[in-house]
Amino acid sequence: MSLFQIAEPGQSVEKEQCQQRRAVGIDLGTTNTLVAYVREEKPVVVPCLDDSLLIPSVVHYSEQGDVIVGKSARALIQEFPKTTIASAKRMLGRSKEDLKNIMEFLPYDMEEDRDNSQKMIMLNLDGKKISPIEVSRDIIKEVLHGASEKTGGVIDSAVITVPAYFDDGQRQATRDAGRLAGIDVLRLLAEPTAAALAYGLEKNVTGCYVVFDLGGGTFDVSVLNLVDNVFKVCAIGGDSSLGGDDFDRLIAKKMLDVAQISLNNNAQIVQQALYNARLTKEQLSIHESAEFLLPLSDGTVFRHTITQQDFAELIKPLLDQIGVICKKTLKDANVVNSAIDGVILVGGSTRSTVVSDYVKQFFGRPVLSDLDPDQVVALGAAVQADMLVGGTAPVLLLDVIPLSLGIETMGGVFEPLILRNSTIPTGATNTYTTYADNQTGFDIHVLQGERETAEGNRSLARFYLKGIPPMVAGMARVEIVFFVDADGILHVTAKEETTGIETSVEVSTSYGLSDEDVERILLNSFEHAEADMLYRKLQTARIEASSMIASIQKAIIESSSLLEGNEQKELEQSILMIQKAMELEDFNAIRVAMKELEKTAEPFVERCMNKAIVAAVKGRSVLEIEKES
Amino acid sequence: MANAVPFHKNQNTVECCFSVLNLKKQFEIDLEELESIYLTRSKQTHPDQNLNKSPSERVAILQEFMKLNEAYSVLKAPERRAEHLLGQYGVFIQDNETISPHLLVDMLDMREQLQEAQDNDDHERVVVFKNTMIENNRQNLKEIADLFVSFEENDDLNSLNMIKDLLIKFRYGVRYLEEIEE
Repeated sequence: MSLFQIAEPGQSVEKEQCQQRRAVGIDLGTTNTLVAYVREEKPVVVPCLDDSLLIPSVVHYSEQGDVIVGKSARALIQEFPKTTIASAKRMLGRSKEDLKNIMEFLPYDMEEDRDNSQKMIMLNLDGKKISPIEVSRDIIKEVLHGASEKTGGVIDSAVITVPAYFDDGQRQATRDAGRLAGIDVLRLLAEPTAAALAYGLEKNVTGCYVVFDLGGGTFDVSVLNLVDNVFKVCAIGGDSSLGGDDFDRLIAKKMLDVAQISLNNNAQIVQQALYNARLTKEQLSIHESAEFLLPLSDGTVFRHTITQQDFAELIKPLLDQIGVICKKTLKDANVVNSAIDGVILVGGSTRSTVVSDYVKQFFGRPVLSDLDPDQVVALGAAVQADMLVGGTAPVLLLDVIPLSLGIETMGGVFEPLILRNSTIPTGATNTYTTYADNQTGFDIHVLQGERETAEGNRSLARFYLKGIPPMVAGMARVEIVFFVDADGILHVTAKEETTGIETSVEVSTSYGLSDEDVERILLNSFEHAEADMLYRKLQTARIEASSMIASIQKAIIESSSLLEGNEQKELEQSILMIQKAMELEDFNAIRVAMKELEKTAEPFVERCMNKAIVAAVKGRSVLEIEKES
Repeated sequence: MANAVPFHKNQNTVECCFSVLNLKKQFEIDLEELESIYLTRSKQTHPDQNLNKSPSERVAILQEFMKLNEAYSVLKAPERRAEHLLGQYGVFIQDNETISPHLLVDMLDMREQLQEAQDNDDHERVVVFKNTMIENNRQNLKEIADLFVSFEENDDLNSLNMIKDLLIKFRYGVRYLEEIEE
């Protein structure tokens, strides 16, 4: 729209007003979710509607069909353990089998998706089915709603962060959640990489750094080289189901054990124990010891004191696991401890003294935590989002895939086509042939992992290439092309070369959402959809209208000499019309009034534009020229 | 059950990684130079640095970046670099390569000893085995480097076959070390 270009070239105040369409960074965490955006060239976290900087990643689905997200949902966990979903991130792109270790702490009714060979989890909320993807969608929607209100802009695109160690299925699921929330997912960015980006730009850190990222439900360790504005990930390692939640579970389990309470059929008390275990853990990052309390059904209260040392012993098996992963990652990166310039701490769980002491002792290198470990990922994501929509990138991120990708060949052998820690985007092509005479089809099984047998790795997709002409075994030529995009998501194409028969899959068809899933979700949300859409349209119209009014008013003041006849009066009249329309809940009225103002203002705007161009050519501001005339 | 059988085409068609990176075609390379060329070229060809280009230009740029990446990762790892260079000279290592009975017997012996030490929880001996193999591999790489120099100077085709044998030995060594790690 021409109206918005009245601003003088190079004027930055106007930029803020014009930028009503925003790109943000979202840190979709296991425990909390944050949104950040770049304001005046600095990334900042957007406060929620209640002014807190993060919202709990908890969603409550009420019997009446209301969706409640955040703090108020968290308060409902004990009362409605089965319909209040916490830690949905741990279930994203996962099967029941994947979660068997924590199953006893998940109070939800779960089933496996029947149409899906990967058996993705579906939650059953009193008969209503919902996938962890939809739960994540509801969290994203809520934070975006708050962020639009707070920043006065329409957010239509975002960079969403994922644990570096998320596999293809988990990445797909995250991207789908963003898409279902109605935004353009610009990029999935690895959380440790986002953190490094924030440190690199905010703290001018350069050299070889390790990012140690222990969140609520995931662990990542990343080795990066930060040199000459290039952030190059050398190697990543991790465990996408190991985090601070597990510390809570260990405390809760131990305490329930001491109190002789069974984990079975006690959903409410188990949730209460988990919640109180978290409080105890948080106390332990400040104090030497803390008391664990649990109100029992008979009215008495169970009390037990836990010391730092008890806690350290309790979580030692997990820290050992973390140590093994760190060692392997340093080896992959070909880096020895002495070559590391520093270790960046990310994730709420690194606040725990036991954890940070462990990191100091393990690496023996300086530890950085001056950027808030809870915020740093969102800040980095905001920077990346700003670069991706701005079209220019002052820095370059070279990220990698965490696990090898390949296919199953005869005899159940896994043949990797793309190795772990390959820089993305990347691709590979390999040719295969038939095993039997007159074999007319090819069963192609795509996997991700590091084991030599297909069975030991995660199955991403199976598809069948048919129509190969009957030939002697070993004659057919099937070319399989792998492409991993900048989100770390795999696309596979297979082609029979002698006939040119081609089939391609985005691996999502079997791991993320199937077409039926999308249909079901759309049907489910149909009742809310219309209201949501109207609300969005109204918001957009209101924001655009106020921005339009502001630019016209500014032009009237600054270029009053360019006004002719009754023009000023007419313009003010039109502005009043818009302001009246804005008070109504009707976006159409606003649009009509905006059209009217645009028409009235057109000649004036043109004169202003000409003046601005002349000024730009002469390299002076409009005001200076104005003064002369 | 998947029924794909790997089929290896004529590998002569593989693009020369040295020319992709404008490096002289020889085994000994300056890793710092490699890194610096890679980073400079990444800044030019990474898709994120070319967001304002037209879609067709971006596809071409993406392909160039992927080629750069592949060449960089091949050249960075000495054993991959050696194998690639051998291929450039027309010598290939196939998956079903027959190995010398001598090497096979050696490897089987070493594995047996390792297994025994592991079964007896004899950590000290396992560490000795590990260090011996790391040293072996280092020696093999050094010999490979010397043989490449000899080939480059004298066009001595026999050294290529010796390099091939050493590389196969090296691979066994790597697998042996991986087993120890597990």
